[in-house]
Amino acid sequence: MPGSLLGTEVRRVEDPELLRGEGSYVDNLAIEGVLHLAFVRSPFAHAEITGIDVSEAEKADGVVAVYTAADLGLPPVRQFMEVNRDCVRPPLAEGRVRFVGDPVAVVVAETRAAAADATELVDVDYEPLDAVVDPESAVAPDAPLQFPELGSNIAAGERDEIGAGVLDGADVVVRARIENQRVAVVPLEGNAIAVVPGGPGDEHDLTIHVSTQAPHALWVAAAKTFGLDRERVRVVAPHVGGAFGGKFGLIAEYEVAVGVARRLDRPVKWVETRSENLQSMPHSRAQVQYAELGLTADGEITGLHCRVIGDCGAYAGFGGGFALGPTRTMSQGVYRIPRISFGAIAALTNTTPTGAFRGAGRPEAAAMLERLMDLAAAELGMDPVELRRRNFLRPDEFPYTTVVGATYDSGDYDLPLREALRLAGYEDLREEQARRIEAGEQVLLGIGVSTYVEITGGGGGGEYASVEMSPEGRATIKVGTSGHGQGHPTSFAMLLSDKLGIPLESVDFVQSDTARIPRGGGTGGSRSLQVGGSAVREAGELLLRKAKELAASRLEADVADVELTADGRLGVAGVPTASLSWAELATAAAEDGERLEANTDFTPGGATFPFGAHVSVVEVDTETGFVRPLRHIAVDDCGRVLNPLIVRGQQQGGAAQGISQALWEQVTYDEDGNPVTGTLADYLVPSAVEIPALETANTETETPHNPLGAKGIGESATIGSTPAVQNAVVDALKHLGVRHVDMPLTPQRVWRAVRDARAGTLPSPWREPPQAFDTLPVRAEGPNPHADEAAV
Amino acid sequence: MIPFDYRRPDDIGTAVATVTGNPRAAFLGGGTNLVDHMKLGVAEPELLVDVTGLTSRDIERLPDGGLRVGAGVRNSDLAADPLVRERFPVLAQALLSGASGQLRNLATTGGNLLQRTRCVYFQDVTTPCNKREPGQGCSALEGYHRHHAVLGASRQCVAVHPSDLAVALAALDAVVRVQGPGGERTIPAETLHRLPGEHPERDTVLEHGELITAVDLPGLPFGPRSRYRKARDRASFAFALVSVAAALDVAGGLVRDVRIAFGGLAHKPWRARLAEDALRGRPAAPDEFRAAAEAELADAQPLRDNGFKVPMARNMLVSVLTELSAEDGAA
Ligand SMILES: Cc1cc2nc3c(=O)[nH]c(=O)nc-3n(C[C@H](O)[C@H](O)[C@H](O)COP(=O)(O)OP(=O)(O)OC[C@H]3O[C@@H](n4cnc5c(N)ncnc54)[C@H](O)[C@@H]3O)c2cc1C
Ligand code: SF4
Repeated sequence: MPGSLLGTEVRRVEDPELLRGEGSYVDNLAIEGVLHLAFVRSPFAHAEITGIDVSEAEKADGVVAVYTAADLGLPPVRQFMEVNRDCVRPPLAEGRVRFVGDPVAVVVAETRAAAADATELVDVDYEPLDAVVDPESAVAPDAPLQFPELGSNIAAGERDEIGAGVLDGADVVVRARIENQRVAVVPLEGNAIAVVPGGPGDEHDLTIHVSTQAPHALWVAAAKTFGLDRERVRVVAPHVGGAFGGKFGLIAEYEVAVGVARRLDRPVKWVETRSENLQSMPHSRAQVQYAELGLTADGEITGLHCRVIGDCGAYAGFGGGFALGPTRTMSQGVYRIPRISFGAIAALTNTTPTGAFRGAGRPEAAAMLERLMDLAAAELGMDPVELRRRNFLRPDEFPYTTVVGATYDSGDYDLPLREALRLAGYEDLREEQARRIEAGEQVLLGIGVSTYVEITGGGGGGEYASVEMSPEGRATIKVGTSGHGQGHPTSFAMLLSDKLGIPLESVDFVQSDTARIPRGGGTGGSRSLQVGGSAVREAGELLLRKAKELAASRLEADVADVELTADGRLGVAGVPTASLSWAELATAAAEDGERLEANTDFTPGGATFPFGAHVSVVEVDTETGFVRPLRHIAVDDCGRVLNPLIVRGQQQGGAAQGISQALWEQVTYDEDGNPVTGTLADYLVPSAVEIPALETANTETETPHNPLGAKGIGESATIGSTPAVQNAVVDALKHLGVRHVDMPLTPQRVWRAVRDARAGTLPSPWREPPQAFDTLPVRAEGPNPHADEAAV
Repeated sequence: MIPFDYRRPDDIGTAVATVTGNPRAAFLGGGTNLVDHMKLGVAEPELLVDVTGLTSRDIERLPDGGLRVGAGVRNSDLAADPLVRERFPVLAQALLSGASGQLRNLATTGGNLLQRTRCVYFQDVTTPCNKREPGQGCSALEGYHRHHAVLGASRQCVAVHPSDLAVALAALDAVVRVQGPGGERTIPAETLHRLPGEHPERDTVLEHGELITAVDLPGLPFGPRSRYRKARDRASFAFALVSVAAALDVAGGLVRDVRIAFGGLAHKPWRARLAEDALRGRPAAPDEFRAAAEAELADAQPLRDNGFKVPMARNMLVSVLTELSAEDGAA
């Protein structure tokens, strides 16, 4: 057999089409007679709707219909994950609006322009209510309530009884109030859907083309919501222009689109604008963390006490629930921590509902812990690297169950750290840092380290895959993951090519169509290669077995003697003349009235825990507060690497987004709840100029949980990079006494920190958390229900 | 966006007459600002008169060593012009620091000068704004105003003018040529934009229907020693927090002449006359620059969240002038 492709840099087979502009996105689909939707959205963060007059809009040119909640009578939105079922969200607001951008009515028109124009003619009367914009004021005793019947703005919350008791006996305790700011997902393509209704004579009652990461989940939700048989519904995701966690579920606007298509019995389309995207796609992160770490005098961690508020935004958006789930699950990180007490609140605010963004709750845990480690290192006068090493879990301890109940599969945390420090030239950097301080230079150097572990491919879900060989000798993979830029057509074809001895060019790839793939978990939580890829490999194995049996009977040989030959045929060992090609085998199967096909549902042994170490080198201008990221070294261990090119791509994109959170991005509202970062001129996604050259590398510590030995890589570098950069900036100012600066580390914040440090007026990084934590229900004893959770 | 008519008249006279005669008509340049505003409902013209084919797209030499820039010249062409780069580097730098390549390819000289403020409330028709609707109140005063004015504002409006080009032109003593119903007039670039006072709805001194036809840049022997510096939140696609346009003429260690204008501080490009006067004849030295900057900024009245602009403007001016005084041939 020619050398295996596994582990080699194979160029992506899907790129030529994309590069030539031949990709097809929802908006490119040519659909006969399609109508266009535009939403009337609330300009108030919180208000009663006292009247809606659509009569003028209905009369406008090109308008087919205008609907409010009362007209469509749609059931509540089924959130992708539920934080509080009493925080009901009607897809079009009923009675009350709860954030700026909350859809109130929908205009259906012959053209997109006519629809957009007519939204201005819908007259909505509002009675403004007081709004709560930040999650800490949301849980204050006198806060205006978003769901008055709930009695508070706490959508969910729980705590451990022991509380600060976990810090008892510590020689030193470091503490900080840490903001993990709200960020927007900003995929190149926003939300988009086209719905084609069918009738009794058609194959489906409903065909939904939608820009999503998980078509099957949306399919199930749509069938349930509209009371249809799943077989009568088809969901297809064409090319998806980025998602990063932001494209899950039958969101409010999608439900409306389906409702309208069914009501009018005509195809409809909704493709959101960029401004809409910044208001309607879930934001993420958005936590305020009160974190305290206890250590012995020589740097051994004795306990961790966290109280975390996750901001749900309106309607108990599921992002706020991450505080209770993945953030807690990953709160022990890579360290030996004997005791953890974790209190968490998911708070309602009058802002865009939150959801997932690259990492979804795990970056928040890593950022919190890595800040605490640097605070502790400063307090103890230790090198941050040394302090980390002193507390690492050891490679011989895996599988390791943490005190919060996650079972880490495999790990060697010093391995990527050693590599990252070597690549960075850590000692030299420290010397240069000292030299600049000594020389009194204005531009200082900061070196930030982060070591992290995260959870991927969990959720208990397996994945479906099938492989079929055609009489022409082409293999078709069908798989239930739903890649949207991650390189699945390449990676999965590599696996099959390796299994069947066929060239990559002979593999076709099908995904994201519920009419062609019976079930699927979609793509999120860095699950696809480890779960979907393993399923493809397994299906390939089954196909090979079938083919061997077929070959044995045709060649009149014992099946045990049939093997894959070097030129990709199935032959009898020791008999060079007796062999069949894949095309011949598929033809033979067809002659028997069979298909040469195999399918499987692969179930992994459990969630996997990728880890790594990042080193960030920044320059901080002490006169202006400007931070220039100079270098970023990312050593991420995602188990065995299938295609280094693709892994590198994930590391680069991930690190770019993570660096960006540390330094630039933040969704902000004014005190009335008006978004002030509502366009890309105001919301600071970086340009190529801002991102430093990224130096990526990998170590490979295999997981026992799947046959590939692979862990997820999609979110790793986002998780590792943010705290490294934040630590680097604080590190540059450490000698001045600066211990913590919140993200994003804008020039203004950094400049203030320098000014305050020089004036001796640095504020304490700590303040007492809201009292709401004291009255939370105590967490039930028993296993962590989120321990295996990494679905997004 | 409400329906509108579009016209492309053959001559300037017709264009001016058409817009003058219709209070809801507007000139259309590259459309990169006006069309955005139409989509947002900030502007609702019923007639667009496209002037990109009418106003000159040429850059001509003037006898005094200056240049005449047609109002139809695209920002990218103006920034790339060899004479502009040689004689007025500050102008090319200002243009290149703004917007993005695509936008500059469309944006015209006239349109750039008349672009409107980026105040988030001005662009959001659901929030009160005196500039959009006089009498509604100013949301920025107590709201999000990090980008807003520290000089020359009024209680009615604290917006800043966003154009980088306009700042460079104010520093260069440029003259804006305008064609109105009654004929041609010229307006110093420095006075084209106004302070908000009681009429924040008026950005400039132009009357409705007056068309910018060209901008004259008078010859400035020390123009080659000029510079534009802009502080912003992102290296591209971001408006100025503060910007400085400066040209400096030094002889024998003394400031013989100087031109300074600030962007991002006020409702108009802020020509720093006080600083200029303070510097003429003084040593070209950082303390002098600092004192001059402080004199200019003495009356600054920052809002709750934009106090940083004052030291930022001061420091940027000091560093720009210090660098210019160290340039070859400056001694
Ligand atoms: C994302 C983004 C970022 C940007 N960043 C920057 C930046 O950093 N710095 C910066 O300076 N600018 C920036 N801009 C603004 C850009 O420079 C302006 O939009 C552009 O210069 C306007 O020129 P235009 O020809 O397209 O004007 P138009 O949009 O066509 O017109 C603007 C106004 O001028 C009027 N008008 C046009 N031509 C004439 C004329 N000849 N006589 C009289 N009135 C006329 C129009 O009626 C309208 O009121 C940015 C814009 C965007 C969208
Ligand atoms: S600053 Fe001016 S433009 Fe902004 S809201 Fe106030 S009045 Fe309107």
